[in-house]
Amino acid sequence: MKDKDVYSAVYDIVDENMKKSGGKLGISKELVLSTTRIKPGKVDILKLSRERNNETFVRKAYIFMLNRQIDDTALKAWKAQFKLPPEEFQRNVVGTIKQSEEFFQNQVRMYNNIYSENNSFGGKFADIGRTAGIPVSERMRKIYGKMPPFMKKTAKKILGVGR
Amino acid sequence: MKIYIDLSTMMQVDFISGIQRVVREITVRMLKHTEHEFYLLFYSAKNNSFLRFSNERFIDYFVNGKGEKGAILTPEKIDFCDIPSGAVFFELDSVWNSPLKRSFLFPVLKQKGVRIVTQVYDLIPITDPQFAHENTCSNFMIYVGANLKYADLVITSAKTTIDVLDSITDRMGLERKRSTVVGLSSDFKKNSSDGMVDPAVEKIAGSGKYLLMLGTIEPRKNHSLVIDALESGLAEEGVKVIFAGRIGWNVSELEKRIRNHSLFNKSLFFVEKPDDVTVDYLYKHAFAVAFPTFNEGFGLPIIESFMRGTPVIASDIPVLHEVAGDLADYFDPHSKEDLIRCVRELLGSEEKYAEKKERLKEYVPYTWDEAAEDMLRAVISVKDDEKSVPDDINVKQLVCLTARNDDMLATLPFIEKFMPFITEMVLCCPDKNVEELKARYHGRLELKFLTDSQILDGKPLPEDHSTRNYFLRCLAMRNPVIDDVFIMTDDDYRPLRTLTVSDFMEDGRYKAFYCYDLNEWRGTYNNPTSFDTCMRKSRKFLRDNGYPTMMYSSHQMQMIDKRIFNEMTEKYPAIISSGCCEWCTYFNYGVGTYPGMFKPVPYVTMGWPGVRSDWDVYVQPTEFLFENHYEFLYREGSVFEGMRDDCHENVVEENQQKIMRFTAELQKQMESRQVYKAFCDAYWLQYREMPSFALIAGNKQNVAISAPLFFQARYNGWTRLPFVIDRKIVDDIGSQKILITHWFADDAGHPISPTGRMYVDLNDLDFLLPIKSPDVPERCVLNIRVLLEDKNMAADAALPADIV
Repeated sequence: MKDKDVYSAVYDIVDENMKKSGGKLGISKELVLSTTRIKPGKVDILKLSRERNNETFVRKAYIFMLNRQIDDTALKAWKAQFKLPPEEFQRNVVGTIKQSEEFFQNQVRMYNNIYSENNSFGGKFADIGRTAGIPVSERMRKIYGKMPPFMKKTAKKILGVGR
Repeated sequence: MKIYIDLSTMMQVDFISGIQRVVREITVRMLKHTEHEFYLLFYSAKNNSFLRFSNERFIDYFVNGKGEKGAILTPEKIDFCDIPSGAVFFELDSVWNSPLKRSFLFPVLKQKGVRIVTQVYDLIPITDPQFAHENTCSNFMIYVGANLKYADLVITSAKTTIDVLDSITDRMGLERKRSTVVGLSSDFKKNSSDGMVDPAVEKIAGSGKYLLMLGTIEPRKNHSLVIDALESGLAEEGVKVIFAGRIGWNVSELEKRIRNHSLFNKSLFFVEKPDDVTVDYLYKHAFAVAFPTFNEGFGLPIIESFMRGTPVIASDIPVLHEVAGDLADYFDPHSKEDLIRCVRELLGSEEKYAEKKERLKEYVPYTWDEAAEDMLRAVISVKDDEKSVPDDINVKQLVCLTARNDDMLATLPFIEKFMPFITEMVLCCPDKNVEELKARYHGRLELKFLTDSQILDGKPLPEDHSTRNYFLRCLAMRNPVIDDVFIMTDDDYRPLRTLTVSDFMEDGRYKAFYCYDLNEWRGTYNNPTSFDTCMRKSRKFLRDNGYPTMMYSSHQMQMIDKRIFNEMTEKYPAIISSGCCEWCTYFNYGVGTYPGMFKPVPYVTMGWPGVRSDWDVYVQPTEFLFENHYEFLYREGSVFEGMRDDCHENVVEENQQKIMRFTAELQKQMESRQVYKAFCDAYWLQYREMPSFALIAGNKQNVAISAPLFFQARYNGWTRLPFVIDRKIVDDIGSQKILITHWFADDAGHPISPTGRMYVDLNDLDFLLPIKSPDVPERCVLNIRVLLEDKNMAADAALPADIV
């Protein structure tokens, strides 16, 4: 039996027992299975960002970044932002957790933080992908390539590209 | 035996109760067994590894009351993969809430053939999840799942828990776990007579007959039933109830009920967080101990109560019958009437009550010393069924699959010279090679031939190189010409110095030389060789069948027990024509099935990798016993330039020089890695995130490179940057042709390095981008450009680079 199938079967048993007691498990199978894949001390924000449901995202973010499930108080607080577009919501969640003492104490290494303000495209734009990687046609690129250095510098400044 | 115990949870909690008490009592006693090596561990998130506790300071603190808890930890770092083959990882603590998930740790331990023994205290979060905190419940599922998959032995404190475990494995269709029962004890008797009891507690206890309920206030313990019984008649009959313990989870309503109850501090009392002296006093003076729990793993209060001669009335559940037998009286934990009946029976007959107390005087508790002895015996027993290598093996044979006569003949003199115990050479080769080999070889080795036609016996030969090799080896292995235990080699694996059988065996086990973890092996990115494909197939086979996944194709000779090899191919007949790697499948099967027969150790091959740019070293050899002979390494500009590659009279001295040169090459690779690691650590400290590279897709069908603010690497070195392509670029934007180029430039933008180019493998979007640094230290700019060639889109990043 593969690992995933073992964890999945254990979840089913617990879920069934919970239902028998008249209750309902507050954590989804998907979330439990994703927890089994946690490498200690590492979180990949790009992979995490694939979750488009804001509530699931914040639940996952707590597990992956803080090694625990979200508490009721925090969930209540984040609920107020569930209607935000996913990028904005995710940026808020990641930024908030990253600044927390708990996150620092947990010493979790954050990888591919696409919402970072400390990477090369600055994170200062509302939508990802509008920064250093401005979609430029090859023709534009050739024109840019022929520019003298001072013009290149000005072009970069205007476009908010590079340093 | 080396025994590793992760005590992270016990060392982090600020109170000692329940499981932590068991962990403490067992551990301090086990440490007395100096015939074993105990490694007490703490998981350090900062280091992402274990740190070791000092055994002496552990005993000083917990037994002698000396020193400080914080001082028990030492700086000695033990990485997960440092726990050696043959060791036992004993899971004694309540580790399910640890950030180090067992779903991650256990497969790592199994890679090395480490045995896992787990003390399962109970399975309540599985059977009765309503009584567990949601966080605990989900973590416990993973903990139990990992143990069901990987534990070699489960110890429980009651047979009831084993029955539950068996019912779970039966339902899942898994093989039942090997298990044993070791009971628990109580430690109050010896140390609780010192100190003062709180006068308020004395006053409560002295005011009449009371039922004592000791333990954390939590829903599972069923305190409400006792209050119900008190309200329904017991109070009127003069019975008092004392709850003693700390407030647990999900009991705010119950706590309110207790504190606001009209009988509170009249017939109903709550002693919060009692110390050991108070607990002892309360036990001794109780009329009876009530234990209305819905479920338990053991029920320590029963033992503690019996030790003080106090009768117990307990829930009518199997585990409590197992612990208390006929010494306790039982009631239905769902019925207050039944509880009242039980109490009335004790109240109603002074004679019966006295008789019960008299019987308890004879009660002989199971001691912690006995528990620790039994537990250690159980832990050690995990190796009882281990098969071991027979003592009388006589290795004299080398077996080689070859189709290259020149290479084989060039290698044979090295074998003659450096492997005196080898007298026979079995060559598995095409029929046409035999005569030439016979004619050209005149050495001391007796050559035996297994030709393709003899091996195949009419079966067609697969075309693919790796598939063909595996197929032939599997069939050859069944031929009686080949000894049960022999040394397998290829025609270009050359010994570098005199070898003996002990170079292939250690501690009575076959050494299994690994060079990588198949899960980490990247091979030639986006252009996999036959070798890479073979590794991927092997990984899949091993993962699918639950075996470790280390890479044993270390390009060196290794000792093989063909009985185990044949057992594997008989168990998995389809593997013969699957194109897997013979080394990886055999050794992982061996380590997984017979850990007592194999000892995984780092490989000892020079020339693997051939050159630094081939692949990043995963494990650094500590010595070199073999050369993987590549002719190109002797060419101009290569590492062995100017040296001979034949077996001449000064070969021993020259091999030493080769080793020095190759070590220096390897060192450069390690230095590049160290510089990059230091850069990553510093970056994380400054920005709380790791420098990482990703091509990401925006909402508006555009792309960007997410990259760190700057970059640091060693000059003239290869750095492999973790790079991720956002799946949306392939799935949503639809690009099928992604090219990454990179180059270093000076401040003026002039390139100072060749441009590296690499197409992305759409099946592997999370990869390592190998970057060659400029030849001299300087400050420059690392440019990365990603082109979606089929979408006419691109993204750039320019990072200030410090080449040191």
